[in-house]
Amino acid sequence: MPPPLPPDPIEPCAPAPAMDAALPAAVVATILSRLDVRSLLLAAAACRGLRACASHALAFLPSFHLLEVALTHELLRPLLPPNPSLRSLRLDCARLEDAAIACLARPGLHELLLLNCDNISGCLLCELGTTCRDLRVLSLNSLGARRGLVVNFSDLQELLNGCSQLESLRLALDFSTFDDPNFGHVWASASESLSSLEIGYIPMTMLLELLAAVTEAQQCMDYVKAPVFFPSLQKLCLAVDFITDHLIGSISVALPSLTHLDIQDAPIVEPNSSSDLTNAGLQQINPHGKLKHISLMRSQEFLVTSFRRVNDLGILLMADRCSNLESVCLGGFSRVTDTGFRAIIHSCSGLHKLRVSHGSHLTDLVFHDIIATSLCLTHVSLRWCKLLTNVGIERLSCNKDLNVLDLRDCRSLGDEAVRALSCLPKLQTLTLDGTDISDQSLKYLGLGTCPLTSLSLRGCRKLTNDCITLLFAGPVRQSLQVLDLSRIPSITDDGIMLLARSRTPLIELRMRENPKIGDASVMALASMQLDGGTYGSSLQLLDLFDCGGITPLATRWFKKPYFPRLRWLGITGSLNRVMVDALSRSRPFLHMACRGEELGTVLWDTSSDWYRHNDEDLDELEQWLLEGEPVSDDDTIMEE
Amino acid sequence: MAPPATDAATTKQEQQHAAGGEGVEVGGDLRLVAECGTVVRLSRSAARMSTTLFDMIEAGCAEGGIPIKGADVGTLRLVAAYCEKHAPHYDPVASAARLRDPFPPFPIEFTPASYAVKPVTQLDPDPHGLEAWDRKFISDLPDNSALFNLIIVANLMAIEDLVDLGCTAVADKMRGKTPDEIRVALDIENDYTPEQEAEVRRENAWAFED
Repeated sequence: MPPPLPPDPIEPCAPAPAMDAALPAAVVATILSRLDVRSLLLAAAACRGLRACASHALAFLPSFHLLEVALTHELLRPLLPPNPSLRSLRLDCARLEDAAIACLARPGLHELLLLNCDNISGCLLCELGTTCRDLRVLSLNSLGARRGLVVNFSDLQELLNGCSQLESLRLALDFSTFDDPNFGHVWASASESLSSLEIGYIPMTMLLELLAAVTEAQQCMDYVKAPVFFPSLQKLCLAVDFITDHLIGSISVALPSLTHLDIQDAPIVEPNSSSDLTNAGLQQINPHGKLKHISLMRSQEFLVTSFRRVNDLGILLMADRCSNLESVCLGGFSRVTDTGFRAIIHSCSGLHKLRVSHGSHLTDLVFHDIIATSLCLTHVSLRWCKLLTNVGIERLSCNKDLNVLDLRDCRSLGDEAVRALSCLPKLQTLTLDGTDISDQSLKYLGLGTCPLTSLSLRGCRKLTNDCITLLFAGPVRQSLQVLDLSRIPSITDDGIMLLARSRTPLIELRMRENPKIGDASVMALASMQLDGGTYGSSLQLLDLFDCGGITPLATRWFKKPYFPRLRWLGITGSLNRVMVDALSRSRPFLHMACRGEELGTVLWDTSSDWYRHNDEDLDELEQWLLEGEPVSDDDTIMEE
Repeated sequence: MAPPATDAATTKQEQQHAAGGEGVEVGGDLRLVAECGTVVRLSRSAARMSTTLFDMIEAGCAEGGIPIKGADVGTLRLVAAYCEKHAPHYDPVASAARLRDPFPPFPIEFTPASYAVKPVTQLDPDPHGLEAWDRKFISDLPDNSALFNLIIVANLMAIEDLVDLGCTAVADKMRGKTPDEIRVALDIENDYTPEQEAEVRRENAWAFED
């Protein structure tokens, strides 16, 4: 038997070439240009060579997206050198003022998305119209909201005249600031390729003037001189004060090729019969059958009210001519019963998204024979549908493609419903706020096969600490990133310690208004380590507003190095003003909400309502009023 | 500077391709000669993906062995495998457009865990299985130097898609990591003095999680 070979001589083998030695600087810069801004800066701190390549890369970065931190102008300027290749810029402008406009309005930009522009005036629009001639997509939030800043009609005019390639325009602001006799006509000079228009809020009178101008131009026989309005418009999304028949009719006449219509209103007084939506109005929707998405919502922000003058007949007639619909949102149609909702489900064979809010007459019958249809629902939201029971959800869960399911405030839903849902193979977001579930539901979810990433159990008062153990017993542990355990009185520090021990890589955790959550929970979360050994909790958002057991000591646990990735923190500000202020000074880029605001980027965006909590949480009195809503027959206008 | 060169090469590629695709005579496979002398064969259709080789075919000097300076056999074989796999579905115009505009506007999601929740309604975006193959191709590479060599050779042969794939793979190794983790992952030596490093961290303090 030959003796074992001696070990190789101890000769250092040539070390693997380090990246900066192996690759030419231009290639390294290209590699860095594929990183997000933050990763780029972290890479720059790795070695001097990378730093040089990083500053080179910043000069030809195609996109610059930084939404999670609001930088000041001083910090932002070195990161945005003159860059002719920059096409997409997305920033949080909470700390920027007009001085930063030059930094934001860059020639060559195709996409610009700015959040929290409260401290920037209308000059931004003017500058964009002059400089960003190639702009395709523009989205701005709350421009000039700070007192003293001015946003003029002339700014809008400059923007529309200048950006002639604009395809998508979203101005989430109050359009009454643009009030002017020429408001209607300025849109004729807007880009011809404008296909999507989203307006924050517009008074109905202004909107009707605009639509009147559009209709007038359409009917004008003098084709050479007639102004052309919105030739390519497909998507319209706005909020008005009142939705009326006249408004719907005007939109249908003026904009016949819409595929996506999204209107919301928030009445401050009870609409009377001449200024409300009725069955007749609904009939006018979608005259050419092109509509794919419809959303009509009456918000109860100011008044507890609903579309009282629309009943099943209106929905039936609408469903008849809207069979191409893929997405339907009906909010505040409290007189519509199962007949109406079934009509939608059975007429719209391509339906993917269904959202019903305040469906007080919606029952299980709606989904009774949904299995007989070929529907492939992916996003379903049934909010405040208190007659819906477990049977209905069992039927609904025949849709195996369900991805997002929102069942907030459906009081009659319980554990059996969750059992049916727990075998859905694609369910990622589940919201069960205010339902009647118990720990058993969490057992089903823990044992089930849903690849849940977001679970909300706010206000499910029957849950106890056991629910946490049950939930994290199974594969949900690996996928869950967002969890809401607010307003559950029986959750205590022990429960949170179990959660911390489970090592789930949570990104968002909300535990608002829980009387028994205290400092021990904060300590447990702070010392939570991930699998893989990265030190420090993965949490980016933590909401502890009004938790009974949190004392000023807890603020010490938010100092570095704990919670390294935390970006949003909700805490009761009156706890200890001094310590809270000290914390916000030591972590200047931590958004702190001290007065109970909901956390997460506050954004007016109807599509994100699928994932966020609305600020429409009713208080007890309003809930009682809604339930005791008198059904008066004289109010309803019958179809003749 | 990397991008202008890429643009110029790709536009040229587009032109060439539009001009004389059909006229080229259907000859045998190309023979690429590695640094050590071993020959790696590459079919003509696969060679289209390399602007350099395409130009040589057009110019008629692609007969005989084509020496690829600085390329070892392993890397050359990998490059050949990539080209063979992608050749049937190669569209130079689409490829150029994608590389020129790598970040077209896409739907915006604003919750912190935005990358987590994505609806699953889209039709299969990867009809030929190329993306899955690419992912496996990259993950099968034994170490960083293999990846770097791949990028170097692809750059040499002007195969834009492969350079893009390689660069993105390296970027993925750096994404979301702290400087220490990046140094470990890519075998980089820290040549900052402590003062310099502190200064770098202070400049953009918001980015560093400490």
